Amino acid sequence: MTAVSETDTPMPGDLRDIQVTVDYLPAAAPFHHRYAPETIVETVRVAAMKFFGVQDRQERDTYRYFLEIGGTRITDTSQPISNFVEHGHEIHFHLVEQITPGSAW
Amino acid sequence: MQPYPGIDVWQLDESAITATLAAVQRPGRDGKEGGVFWVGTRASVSVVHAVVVPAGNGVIEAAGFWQVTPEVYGAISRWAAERGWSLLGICHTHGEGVPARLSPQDRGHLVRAPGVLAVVIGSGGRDHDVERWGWYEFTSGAYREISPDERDRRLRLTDEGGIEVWAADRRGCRPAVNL
Repeated sequence: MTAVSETDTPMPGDLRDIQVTVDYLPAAAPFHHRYAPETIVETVRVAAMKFFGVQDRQERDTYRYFLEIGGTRITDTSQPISNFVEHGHEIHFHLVEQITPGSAW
Repeated sequence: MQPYPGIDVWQLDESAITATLAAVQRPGRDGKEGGVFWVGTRASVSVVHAVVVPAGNGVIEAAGFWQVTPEVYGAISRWAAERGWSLLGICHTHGEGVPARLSPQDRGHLVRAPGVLAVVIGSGGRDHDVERWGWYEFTSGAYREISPDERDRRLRLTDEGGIEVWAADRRGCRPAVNL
């Protein structure tokens, strides 16, 4: 998986870069990557989904993955990740799945 | 590091089975489905350390339907990450007269990650015989039923105790006192 080789790789980037960690409950290892503060949440969401091998899908029901932090699900993924920095230059998200029942529910 | 190390053996203590049955029989008595998460260390030999019982705010238990909202799932994720534990299995009930097998709806709604177990207990959780439960593993993009031979080979039942039992809702996880 391509994303695996992207994680845990030292990056010579900007000192302002934010170390992002994303956990996914079934996985034994989290996703790690450094991003510039202005990176939007969607970029992290997509990269984390690729790392964990999951994807949004539409069947009878709609399945969509969200990043959550501190119990809050992030629905506006156009926000910069800097909005979620609490301590220093690190953010710890969790990837969760939302199931929206289809019309046949 | 790969997110999903291969699993050869699931190690499950008898006390986890006892805790699972106690948890799912509560909604089962009211004719509703219920379920638990089996959480522990994921490795070649994966060990279930805790039974997590989603209940209350953010959990839907109904006849023919059990669902855990993303908020509860997130709470369990935060709790498990602090311990370095992963979701190893999801165990839920089917009601009286409904086969202990994954339904098409189950297959769509359950977590889709390699190696995750999906276990179905019949008769609203009153069936104590694990050999009559439905055992499935998510592999190659779908849940595959585990045959009795494979289950005997890959499921290691122990009798050492020490399983933790936690209750979870959208506010977080806490040690379970009364299931």
